Amino acid sequence: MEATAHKSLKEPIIITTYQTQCLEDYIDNGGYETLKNVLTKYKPNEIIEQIKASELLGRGGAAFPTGIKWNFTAQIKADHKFVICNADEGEPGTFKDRWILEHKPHSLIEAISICAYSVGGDKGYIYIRGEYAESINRVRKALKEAYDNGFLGENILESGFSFNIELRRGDGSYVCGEETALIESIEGKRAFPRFKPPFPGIKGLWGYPTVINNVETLANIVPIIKNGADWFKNYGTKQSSGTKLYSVSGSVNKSGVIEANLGVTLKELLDAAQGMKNNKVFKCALIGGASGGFVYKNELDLPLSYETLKEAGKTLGSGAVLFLSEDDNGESLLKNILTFFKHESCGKCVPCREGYPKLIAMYEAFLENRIKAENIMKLADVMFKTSLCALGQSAKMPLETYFKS
Amino acid sequence: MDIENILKKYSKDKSYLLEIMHDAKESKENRSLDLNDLKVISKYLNINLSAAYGAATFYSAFSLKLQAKYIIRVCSSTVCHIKKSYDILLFLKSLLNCDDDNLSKDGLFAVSEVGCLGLCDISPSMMINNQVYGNLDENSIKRIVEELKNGSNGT
Repeated sequence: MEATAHKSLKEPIIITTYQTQCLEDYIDNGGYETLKNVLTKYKPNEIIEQIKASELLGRGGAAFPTGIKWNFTAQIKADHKFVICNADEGEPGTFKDRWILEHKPHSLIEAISICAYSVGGDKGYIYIRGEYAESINRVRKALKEAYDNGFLGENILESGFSFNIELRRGDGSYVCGEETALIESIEGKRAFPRFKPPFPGIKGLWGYPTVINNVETLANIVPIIKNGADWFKNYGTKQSSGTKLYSVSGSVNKSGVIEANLGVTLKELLDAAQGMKNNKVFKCALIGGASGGFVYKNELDLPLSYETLKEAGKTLGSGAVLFLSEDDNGESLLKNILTFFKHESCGKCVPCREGYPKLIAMYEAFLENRIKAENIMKLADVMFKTSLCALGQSAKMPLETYFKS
Repeated sequence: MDIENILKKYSKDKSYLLEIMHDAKESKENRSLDLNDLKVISKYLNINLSAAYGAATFYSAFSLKLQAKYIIRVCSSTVCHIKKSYDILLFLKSLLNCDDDNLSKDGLFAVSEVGCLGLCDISPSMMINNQVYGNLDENSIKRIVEELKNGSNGT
């Protein structure tokens, strides 16, 4: 993906660019040309067809096909339609969206505008978590640059298309990453997830059809339109096209955002991170953030794509990869994860709100050999089946994959 | 800037609630909101006081309790946990002589443990107000605290 400007990606690359691309630099590198082409040469449905053909999957964690999502909203007639960029990156261990927000803010603005043109949106929001103070500053500055130079606002690039983007700040709430909770938050409410369906694509912000995409998903849009769907499908695996930004951290020599083809192996990522710190022995990796699963030594060659991890009973999620050495305490990490979910549970639905405190108590009992793992899994399974949103479902995977070790 | 002046920046669109609360918090010396702020804000946006109160108490960035000039948020999630963030937290609390409410003895600092700050590449990490600090150890923490006490950095 050109979010990181690597045009032909053969090996995983650790991203070391730390300069924000200002408007001038962005334009010098072909920035906003795609928007101009889209607005003047393409019909909205042609764009959607291209995104569909690219088979781009949502990069926030749920991996829903982006083109299909856009199409839902495009099909509906409504007085207003909205486009939201979900920049509430809160999944523990994930920091790739922060990199895009801080270094490529204009690529997001261009992508959101293209999305709005394709689905008939008249207003956009970028919802950034308040903890990302630097991202907020840089996106705010980029928005001003875009307005000042006619890339946003009335009659953009004299195409007749008008579109506005506003920034909204969250702060201190993990559940805001859930799309309907985020919408509630923009509406000025507590971030309680809504019942689905209806999905936001049909009934979202203020009840109007709303496309809501993750930052990294949007960062893929301009390269796809510019280079075509087939180009995009050169990267990645058959079912997971494109490259991915993996947030690599933990007991490795070099933590950072690593761009690699979807389907890269854990071993390759570990090499790109320059191996385990202090030559410690690799024990396992937690993939997909706190709500992800543990992957062990015998799975070092497992391709990290959406379909392969799913087949292995795990998830790629946000693409966070936390490497643990033999000296790292997995037992206490798991307790930390459960405690995090308990704290972040919004309290709306009973299984999540009441489940997590009980789950922690049971886990402590398990550590004292008073109960069996399968008892914990029974509760985690009930929470998985009955919780309103993914937060209450999140404990199952880390627990299950940890107990299977 | 007082709350009335902050409100002038915004239209009466309900979706500005969090933005206004952010600005109000930033404008306060002790970075906390009080009930009066919420009354003024809710009246302006034409929402129930309970809705403003609900939001102010839901998002952990906002507090109606006594806060401090410097709010220290120590990341405690997965990666930082592995990198011994709990030791960092304990060290900070003892360095600052924090009371049971995690306020420092001199009233300058409020310490809290928070979920992932997305600074996993420079873990263990923390934020003081809007400033980011990473690769922490006891020495760097001592230095950072000292600098703030001497007033060399206020953001």
